[in-house]
Amino acid sequence: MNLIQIELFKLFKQRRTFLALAAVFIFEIVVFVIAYDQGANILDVVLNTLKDSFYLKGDLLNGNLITFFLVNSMAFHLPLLLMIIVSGIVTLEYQEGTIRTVFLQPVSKWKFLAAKFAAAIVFTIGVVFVLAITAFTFSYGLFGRGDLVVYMDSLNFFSEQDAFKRLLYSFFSGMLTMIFYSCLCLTIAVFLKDALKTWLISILFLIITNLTGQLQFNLPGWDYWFFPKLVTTWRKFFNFEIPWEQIWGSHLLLVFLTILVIFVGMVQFYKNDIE
Amino acid sequence: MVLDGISISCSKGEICGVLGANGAGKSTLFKIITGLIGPSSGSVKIHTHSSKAIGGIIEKPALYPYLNARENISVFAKMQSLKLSPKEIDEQLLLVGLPLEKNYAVSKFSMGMKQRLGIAIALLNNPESLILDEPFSGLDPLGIESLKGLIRHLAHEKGIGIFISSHIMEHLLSLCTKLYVLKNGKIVNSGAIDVLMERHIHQYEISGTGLKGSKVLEAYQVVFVNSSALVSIQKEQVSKLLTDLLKEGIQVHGCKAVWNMESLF
Amino acid sequence: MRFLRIYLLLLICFYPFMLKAQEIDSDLLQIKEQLQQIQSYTANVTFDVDISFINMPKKEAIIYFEKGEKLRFDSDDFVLIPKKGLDLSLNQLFEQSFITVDRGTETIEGKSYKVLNVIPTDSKADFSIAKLFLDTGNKRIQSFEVSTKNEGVYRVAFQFESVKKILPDKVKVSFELEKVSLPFNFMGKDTEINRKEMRQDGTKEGAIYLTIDYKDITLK
Repeated sequence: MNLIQIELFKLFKQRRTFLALAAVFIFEIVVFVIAYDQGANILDVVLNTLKDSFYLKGDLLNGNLITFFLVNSMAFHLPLLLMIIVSGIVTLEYQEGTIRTVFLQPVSKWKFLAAKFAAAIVFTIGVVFVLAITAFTFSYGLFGRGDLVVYMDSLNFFSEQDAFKRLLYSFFSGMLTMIFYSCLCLTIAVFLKDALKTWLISILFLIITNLTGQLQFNLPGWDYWFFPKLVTTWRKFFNFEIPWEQIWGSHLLLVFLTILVIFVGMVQFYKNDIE
Repeated sequence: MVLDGISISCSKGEICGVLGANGAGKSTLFKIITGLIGPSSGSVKIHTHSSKAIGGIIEKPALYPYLNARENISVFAKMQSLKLSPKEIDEQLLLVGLPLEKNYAVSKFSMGMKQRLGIAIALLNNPESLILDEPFSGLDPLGIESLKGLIRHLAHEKGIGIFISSHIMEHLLSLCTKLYVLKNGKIVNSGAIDVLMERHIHQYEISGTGLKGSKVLEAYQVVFVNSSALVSIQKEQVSKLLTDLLKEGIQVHGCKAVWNMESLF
Repeated sequence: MRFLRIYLLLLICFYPFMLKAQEIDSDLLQIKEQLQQIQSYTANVTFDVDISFINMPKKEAIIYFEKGEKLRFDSDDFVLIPKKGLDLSLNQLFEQSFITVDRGTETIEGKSYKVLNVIPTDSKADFSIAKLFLDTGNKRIQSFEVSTKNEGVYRVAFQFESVKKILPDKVKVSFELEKVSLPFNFMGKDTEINRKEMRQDGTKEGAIYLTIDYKDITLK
């Protein structure tokens, strides 16, 4: 526990951590502004066909829709910011040479790295939690509540309460994905040690995952097992019928992959000499 | 191969030097001793009951730049499950001569202050031995003298066995009782300082006024360099030479032993 | 003389048909008079959308009908309210002058209905032709299909819980919709896309089911 506390203490003593958190808030504000301005246009276009045959009673540009936009930041923007901060938990030790100072003390290698993974996970959970709280608070405060419309393969309308629950579930689900990305980034840092190389590889991984996630093949289990689909499991909460079995399966697989990634990182770190 | 057939030892309260050029393998040797890297053969035997046998600074003092001195000590102490009260942390700072009022981040510390803080951290958990890799690197002359005073204090007052490495001989000669000479990963010479001096000092550099005109110096093998004279002479003959020069009326400003580097390395 | 005889013969043969085309069917007239007694009503309506590319839970709204005024809606939720088919007293169909053409009878689910074409004679009417299925026994319109001038064709089917009811308890409104295929990009990059480019798979049939619970009905 001491080691985890130390890691979190060090993390929050660094200015870059607060810069990254500020970036999350700024991103939220930008999304509020853009969504408010563009959201109405998009809704107009998407619902224009329906306007021929229906009166649309009620305002769909509301807090639930804005929160949905912010949930989507877990596809790319949030993991990008997390990876930049979390990678420093390891790379800065090599950069500053403090890794030598640490292991000149009687500190267990595996405990040391385990604490770093734990701190990264705690930090990631905290960031997603803060994102969720601020998203709901400011979205509802500024835009009010209402039904949510989401275009998946069809136009899905969710009632206000149902939308809130789905958004909450998606944050929890997305949290697992963010934890995976953070742990993966740490493992990459253990291998590469250099901050810039770690960022590049991590970002490349994120980009490839995002791009390949757009692919659709009629292969059995494609949506289930294919990794880029796994990291967007949280999107399945916006299917009209929530595929719970598939979601739980994806979550379990993601947890397994996270543990695997941590294990690989630990083994490599144990084998590494401290230069 | 970085190191080959190395065997060194240091007793309690002793200060041992490791002399070698850059790339000789000094840092690698210390990393192996401290367990940072594993040797491809051989073993490191440390006779101790302490949880922390060896403390040290390898290459340069590596500290968390965004933390201040107290926070650095606190963090490294907690890592090894050492509970230090604020008073004990202050005592640790005072032990290495760091001022208590400097509360700013370590990134703003001078090199000398960083070295001292590095030593304070190395001394956490009361190790019996200390390894200091090039501790004088980057320090001004005053800082070097001050650090030497601290090292002597730790060895003589606290009984800590200390290994110091350097590529500058003068630093080690004024501190160490024993010296290991490292070249291309091998120990090429070792022993007590006075024994090594006997074997490898055959010249003395005498600086003064009017040395070129000295009749006394005509009896010796001398090379004049500016206002100094490089005299080939044994240690036992130095006092007589200096006395004779003084009697001749030569103003002698200094006398320094000149090591034969070729035979030493 | 000969031509006069031929003319008279033709008149006798075709007069019944001419009469049939130009009169308003008497059954329809009775239904129309009955419906025009309705001055106002308020109703809780449940909307159940059945369109292949729309998933929507059942929604509720209150509708306020005042004869001669536009239909009003009130809802706490977001609701898709069909533009056509909520005219339960068929005022829009009957407000302009029209003629009817008898198309005989049709059997739907074992029941026989009188089929009439309603053709507006006033150019202001927003539909070109309507096909009505009359339940002559209960003096009600069972269903109808309207071909509008600008908004395609829609079909409305009524369900009545009892024989005495003038206004339906359940309504099914069927219509055609263009399918929208658009990735929902929250950054708004796609707002300039042409709707024609978006149209894929042609038009789709859709329906909306209304369940109506009348609060108060005012008759003349």
